[in-house]
Amino acid sequence: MSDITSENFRKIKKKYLTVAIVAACILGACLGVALTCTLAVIIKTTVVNFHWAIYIPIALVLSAGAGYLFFLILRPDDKRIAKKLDRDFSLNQKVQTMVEFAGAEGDMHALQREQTNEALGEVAKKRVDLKWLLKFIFVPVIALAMLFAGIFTPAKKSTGDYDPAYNMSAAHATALKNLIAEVEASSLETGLNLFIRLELNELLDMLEEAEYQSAMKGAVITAVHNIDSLVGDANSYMHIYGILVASEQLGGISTAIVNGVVDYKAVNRASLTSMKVVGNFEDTADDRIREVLESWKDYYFTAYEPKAEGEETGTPLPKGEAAEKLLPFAEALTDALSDDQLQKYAPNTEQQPTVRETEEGDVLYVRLTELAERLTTLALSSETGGYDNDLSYLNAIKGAFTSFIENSTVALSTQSYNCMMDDYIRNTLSRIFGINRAEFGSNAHIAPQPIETEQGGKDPNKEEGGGGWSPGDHKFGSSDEILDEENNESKKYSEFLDPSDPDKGTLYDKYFDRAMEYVADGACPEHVAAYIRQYFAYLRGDLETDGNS
Amino acid sequence: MADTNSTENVTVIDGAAPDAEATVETAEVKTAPAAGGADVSRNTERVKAFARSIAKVKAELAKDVVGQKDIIDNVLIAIVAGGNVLLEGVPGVGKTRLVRSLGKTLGLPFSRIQFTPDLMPSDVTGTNVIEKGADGKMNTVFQRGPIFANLVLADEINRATPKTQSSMLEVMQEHKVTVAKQTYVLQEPFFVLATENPIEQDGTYPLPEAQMDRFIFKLIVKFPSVDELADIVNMTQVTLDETAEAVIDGPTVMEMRALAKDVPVIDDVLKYAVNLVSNSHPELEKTSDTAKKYIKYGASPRAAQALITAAKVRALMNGNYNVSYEDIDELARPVLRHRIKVNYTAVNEKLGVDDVIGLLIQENKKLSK
Repeated sequence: MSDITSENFRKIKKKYLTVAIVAACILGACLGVALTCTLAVIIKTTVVNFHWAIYIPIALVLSAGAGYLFFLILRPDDKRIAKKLDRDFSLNQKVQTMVEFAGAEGDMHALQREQTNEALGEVAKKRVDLKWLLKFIFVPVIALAMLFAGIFTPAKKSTGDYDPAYNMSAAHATALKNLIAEVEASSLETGLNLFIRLELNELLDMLEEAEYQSAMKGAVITAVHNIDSLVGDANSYMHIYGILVASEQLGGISTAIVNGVVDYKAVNRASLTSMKVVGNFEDTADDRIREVLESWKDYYFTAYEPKAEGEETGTPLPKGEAAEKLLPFAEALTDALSDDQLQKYAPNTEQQPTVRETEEGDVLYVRLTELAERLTTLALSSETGGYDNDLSYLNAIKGAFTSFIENSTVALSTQSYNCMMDDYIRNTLSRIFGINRAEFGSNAHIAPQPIETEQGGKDPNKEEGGGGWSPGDHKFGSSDEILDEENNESKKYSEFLDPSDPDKGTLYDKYFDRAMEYVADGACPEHVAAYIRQYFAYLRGDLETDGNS
Repeated sequence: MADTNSTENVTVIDGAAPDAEATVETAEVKTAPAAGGADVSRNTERVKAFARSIAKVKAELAKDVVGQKDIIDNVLIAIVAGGNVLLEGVPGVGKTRLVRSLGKTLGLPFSRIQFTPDLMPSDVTGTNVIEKGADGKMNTVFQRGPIFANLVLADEINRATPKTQSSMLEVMQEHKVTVAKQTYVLQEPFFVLATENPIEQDGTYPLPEAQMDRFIFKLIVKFPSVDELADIVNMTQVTLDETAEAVIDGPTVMEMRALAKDVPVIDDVLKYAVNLVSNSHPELEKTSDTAKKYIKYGASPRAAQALITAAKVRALMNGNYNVSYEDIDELARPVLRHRIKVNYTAVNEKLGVDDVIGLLIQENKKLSK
C-alpha cells in the first residue's frame, strides 16, 4: 500500500491506471491479432489453409498474453507517474520528492506534501496526456498490415490434400481391356489366369466408378498387390526354398531351384518393359533352368567322385561311403518336405491354394518327394540293390537326380512364367495409369534376385536383361509392309529402320519412364500429373492402335 | 599573527567587533523558536515565514542597492547556507555598499578590511598587546582584529600577500581565530564577503585554489545598466548613508540555516548535482566531452556539497520545499566558476568559464535523461 497521502495524486494515478488498462487491452488485442495473422500467413504459405474460425481462439489467447505484458510495461508506478508529472507540468521535482519521501516525518516534509498536493490540484482536473502512447502506434499499424496480409494471402494448395477428379478415359478402358485379353491369351495356368483376369475386371469396374485420382491409384495398387498374392500362392518354389534352405544338406538344391526360376525370368526381362504380345517369350528357357540344376548337380557329385592329384576324372566313392553320404541328404529332404507349411502342395489335400485346385498336387513338390523317396531307397540298398560296382551305384544316384531335373524343369519354367507375367502386369498397369512402379512396392517375395551359391551362382556370361532386345521379341511395326517408292516394291518396315534406332515402343518407354520419375519426385502438382498420365494413356492407345494396324 | 600549530585555549567571543553595527531584534522568524515539543502548526509557520523574511530583507536592500538582484539573491543564499562569497567586479559597482547594507538589514555587526600588500595577518585577526591595568601592573590583552564581526568585507583580498590571505583560511573555514596558542571562536553567523578587482592585476597575489575553494560562491558584479546607473546617481544625491533597517537578526539567520538543512533532496537531483561536479573532471574515465575538451582541472567535492546546501536554501527562498534540477542549474555557475580551470582550447575558442559550465549543464541534462 502506498504511503502517499495526496488525494490529487491518487486521483491522477487512478486516471493513469485506467489509461494503462485500456491501452494494454487495445495494444494487447492489436499484438494478438498481429501474431495470429502472422501465424496464419505462415500456415497459409507453408502448409494448408485452416478454417478462419480456428484463428479466433488463438487470437484471444495471444491477445490476453500480450495485453498482460503490455500492462506490465504500462502499469502506473508511483515513481514513474511522479517523474512524468514533474516533467509534463514543470513541477520542479515536487511530485518525485513527495513520492520518494512519502513515509518521512517532519515539518518540511509535511509542507512539501501539502504544497505538492496543491500543485497537483490543477493537474488532477486535466485530462491524462496520451501522447506518450504514440510510441506504441507501430503495434496497431503492424496489426492492421498483418490483418490484411492474413486475410488476403492465398493459401498454398497442398499437393497432399489436392485430389484431382478422375474419369476413366476410353484410352484407359481400352488399355486395361487389352491387358485382360493379353492375360487370357497368355500361358498362365488356367486357375491363375482366371483369377488374375477376375482381379483385372474388378479393377475395371472400380475405375469406372472412381471419381478421384487417389481412388484410381488406390484401386490399381490394390489390384497389383492382389495379383502378387495370387502369383505367390500359385508358385511353390519360394515356399519350398524357404523350408529346404534351413537344412545344411539342402542349401545347394534349394538355391538352384530359385536361381533356375530367376534365371529363366531374367532371360525375358527385357521384353517385360516393352509393350509386346504376351506369349512369345523365350521358348528355350527350359534349357536354361536345366543348365542351372545340372550345374548344381555336377558340383554336388564332386564329393562322390574325389579326384586324385594330377587326374582329370575322379574315382567313385565306395558304395558304402556313397550311401553314407547320400542318406543324410535323403533324410533331410524327406523331413523338409514333410513340413506342415508344404503340406498344401501335396496331392489330394484340402489345403491346396485356390488358384490351383488340382488333385495331383504341386509338380515341383511331387518331383522332390519322388527324389527323396528314390534317394532313400538308394542309400539303404547300396549292398542289396544289385549294384555291381561303385560306379554303377554312383550312376544310379546320378540317374535319380537327372530324372528329377528332367521332370521338374517344366514345373519351374511354369512358375517362372508366372513371375514374369506378374512383372508384366505391374509394368503395364504402371504405364496405363501413369503410376510409378515404386508405388506398387516390391514383389521380391515372389520373384527374387538370383542367389549367390558356392558354385558361382549367376553366370556372368548370361544376359541379365535391363535393356536391349532378346531373341524373339516382337517390335511394333517391324513386320508392317511398306511400299518402297524407289523400286516400287513392298518391304517390311524393319528393313527401312536403322538397327541402332529404337522403335516407337522403346521411345515411348523411355519417354514415359523419365516423365514418371519427375512426377514421382513432385516436380509438378497433382492436377498437372493427372494430365501427364492422361496424355501418356492416349499416346499409348495411339501406339497400340498403330501397332495393331 | 595567529599561530595555528600551537596548543590552543578556546575562548568564545560573543561580543561585537569594535566597529560593529548595532544589532536589531525585529526578525519575524525569531518569534517561533524550534521547540522540542511538537507544535506542528507553529513549526510549519516558521518554515513558511522563511520566504517572507527573505523577501523583507530583499526589500530593505533594494533601498540602498540598485539592481544586482542576482547578486543579492546569491549573497543571501550564501549567508543562510553558511558560506563565504567572493565578489568580483570593477570598483564602484556597489560591492561595499551591498555588504554594509546587508549588515544593517540582518542586524549583524559588520567590519571592513581593506587588503593591501603591507597588511599583516595580525591586522586581520588581532594581536596581544601589553596594557597597564588599574593596579598599575602590565597585562597582556588580546586586541581583536576586524575579523571579529558577523559580517566581514575583505575588500580587494587579492592585493594582500599570501601570508595575510592564508590567515583568513582558518577563519573562513572553521570560524575561529588562534593567536598565541589561544583560540577564539567567532560568533555565528559568520560570513566573509571578499572582493576582487578583475583589472589592475599588477601587484596582486591571486588567491590559491585551496583558499578559493573555501568560498561557496564566486559572484560577478556587473556594471549597472544606464537606468540603474541613473537611479544610483539620484539616490546618492540625497544621502550617501545606507538607509536600510534591520528586519532580522543573527539567531534568525541561524534558524533559517537549520531549516534549510531539512529541505528534502531526491536521489535523482542529488545524483544530478554530483554528476555535474564529477563531469567537470577531465582526468576521469567516465566524464563529459566538455571536460575533456575545455577543462584543465575540475571542481572539488566541496562543490557538490555547496551545490546541494545552496540549492536547499534557494528552494526555500523561492517558496519551494524541495530541491529541483533548476536549483542546481541556477547555482552551478556561482558554485563552479572559481573551482574550475579552463584550458587553452577554451581560451582559444574564446569560451569563458561560465560558457564551459553552461556546456557542462547542457551535457548533464542529456546524460540524466
